[in-house]
Amino acid sequence: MSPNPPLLRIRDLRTHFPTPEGVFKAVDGVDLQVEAGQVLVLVGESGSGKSMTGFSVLGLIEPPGRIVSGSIQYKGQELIGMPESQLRALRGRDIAMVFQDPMMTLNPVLRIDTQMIEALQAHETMSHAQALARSHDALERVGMTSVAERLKAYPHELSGGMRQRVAIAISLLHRPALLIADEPTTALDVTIQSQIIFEMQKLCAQNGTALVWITHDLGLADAMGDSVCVMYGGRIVESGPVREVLSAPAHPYTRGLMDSLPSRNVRGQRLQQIAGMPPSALNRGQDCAFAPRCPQADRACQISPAATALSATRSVRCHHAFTKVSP
Amino acid sequence: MTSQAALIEVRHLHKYFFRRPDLAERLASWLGSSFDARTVKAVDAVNLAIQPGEVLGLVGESGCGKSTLGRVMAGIIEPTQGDCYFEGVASADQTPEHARAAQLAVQMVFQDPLSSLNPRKRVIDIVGEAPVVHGLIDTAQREDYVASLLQKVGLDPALMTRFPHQFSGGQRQRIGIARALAVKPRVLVCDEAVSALDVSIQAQVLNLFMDLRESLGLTYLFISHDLGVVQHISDRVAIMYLGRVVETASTEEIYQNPRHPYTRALLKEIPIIGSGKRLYSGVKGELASALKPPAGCHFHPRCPHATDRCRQEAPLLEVSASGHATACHLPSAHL
Repeated sequence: MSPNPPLLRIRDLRTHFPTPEGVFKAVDGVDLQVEAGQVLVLVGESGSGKSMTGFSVLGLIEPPGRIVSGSIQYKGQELIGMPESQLRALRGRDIAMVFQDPMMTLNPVLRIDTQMIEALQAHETMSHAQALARSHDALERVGMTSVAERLKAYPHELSGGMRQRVAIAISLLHRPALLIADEPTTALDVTIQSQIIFEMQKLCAQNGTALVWITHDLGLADAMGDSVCVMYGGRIVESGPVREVLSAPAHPYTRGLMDSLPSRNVRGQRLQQIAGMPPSALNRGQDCAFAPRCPQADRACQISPAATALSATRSVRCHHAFTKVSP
Repeated sequence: MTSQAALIEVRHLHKYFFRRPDLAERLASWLGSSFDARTVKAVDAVNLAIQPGEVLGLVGESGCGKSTLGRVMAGIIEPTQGDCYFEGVASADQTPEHARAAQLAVQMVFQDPLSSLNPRKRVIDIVGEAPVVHGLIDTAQREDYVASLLQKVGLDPALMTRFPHQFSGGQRQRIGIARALAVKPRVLVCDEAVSALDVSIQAQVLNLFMDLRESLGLTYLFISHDLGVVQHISDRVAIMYLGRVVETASTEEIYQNPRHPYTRALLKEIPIIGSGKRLYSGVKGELASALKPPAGCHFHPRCPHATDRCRQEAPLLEVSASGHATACHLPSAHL
């Protein structure tokens, strides 16, 4: 590890939501690390806690939910317990977020120019004209056409792809060191998705922005990530460089996910499937969350495995990593 | 297109949606000014045939009219123009009995199982209602019938007294499938039926579709935007763009030898494991609005090879000797 603190370092993060039925453990012991300029892909199914990990970093967990324990360090600075005023100064300027639904970023009753100028002036002192010019420039850089017109439009006058471009332009206004992107292209069409990924890859490379890309699409992880973390049941079950993880997955869940993709099965034949369904985060016990669906589960799996390092960059949480039972 | 043995076929099908002019527009037209009538040509002169036992994949981006086409074929909405043929008989020429049989024979499975299941009804009512109404079974047999259907789709029959919200997404989709199967259909129109499901559940439901095809001899119209899923399950694929079918061919053919520039662009953009890290290039331009589709070939504003002819004249679907149909003016050698 370099002597400099990593850009983002999360240790044993736990974000829980008390409910009348019990404690909903959305994030239950996540460790991850992002270096400057790196692209980390966080892969998981719905309910695996991948979005909640992103929200936790930005301090966006709504009560009654709260971060119960753990540490989130940004450039060595602890974010958990930081006063809201300091957090506000970081949010949007140093760490930005893009959501799946651009309408979570955009205010439906304000014009695009108003919103962009407001976002700029929140962190930097500049005149209205300067801010307008920067907004114009920012929209051009995300591949928007007829920018002057779009600036005067309201969000509902734009298509889904256009809105997401505006949301991305806003998130990159202050050239943040870290951008958390929560499934920003999932709701978009294939051709629009690739346009947006293209613009984001270009801009992040230009600005040296590190990217945490949250997705459920393993193909996308392979196409754009440096490293990948696979989440299941509120924990990271496997992490490492994308190429290594996807060419030789160590965790049975990663393997099962990959084997169930149509592109890895013979056309027209039954797909290999993971039996059962994802676990509820409610009243999660001590056992390995994947055990009920795992073909290799045995008595050892009643106790959740700790993260084991496979190499300097890879780790896995499984008692039976890499072993495969013959059918 | 050959229509010899087609189980279900549409010929020259149009489905337009009109928007009623609002007060200001009515006033304006009353005062003599003209404005455009706001017609969405959701499906624009489409010919499509599905052979018995075939799985036809219908691919396109949002707003291209693929769901509308599916709904017309399932008889849920009426076409504006053109005809739907079932076993070679046009819907206009069917006797009332035949029309009813044709209606029952094509059933639909929707994308979002929660919004397509009545939240206030129990599974036994959701699945068991239609077969009783249509006289396939009598009320006394209902419980056994529903139990056998639930078993067929991989659900525990003991759960039949529960409500939809008590199930997970994958289980709800299975209920939707059981409901469609309850009237013994021959064709299932699956409209993005696995798109809302998680990857691990998606594989389970796709396997169910393939098992049912085998055991019940079903024919499918499988609508999806996911090219990987369509490639896996389909025998033949049709690609739609802004209301028109731009290419149809057998699955091997279309994935190995795509001819239409749009199909090529789509195939290039799917992220596949093993392709490695890469920079995306992207098809330029946005999907045009169906309210104002571009003249000529609808794809020309985004097409890298567009010529003047493409801007003026809409290409027709031309079938090659191998059965590969493409609607493009450009000879494929030029692409």
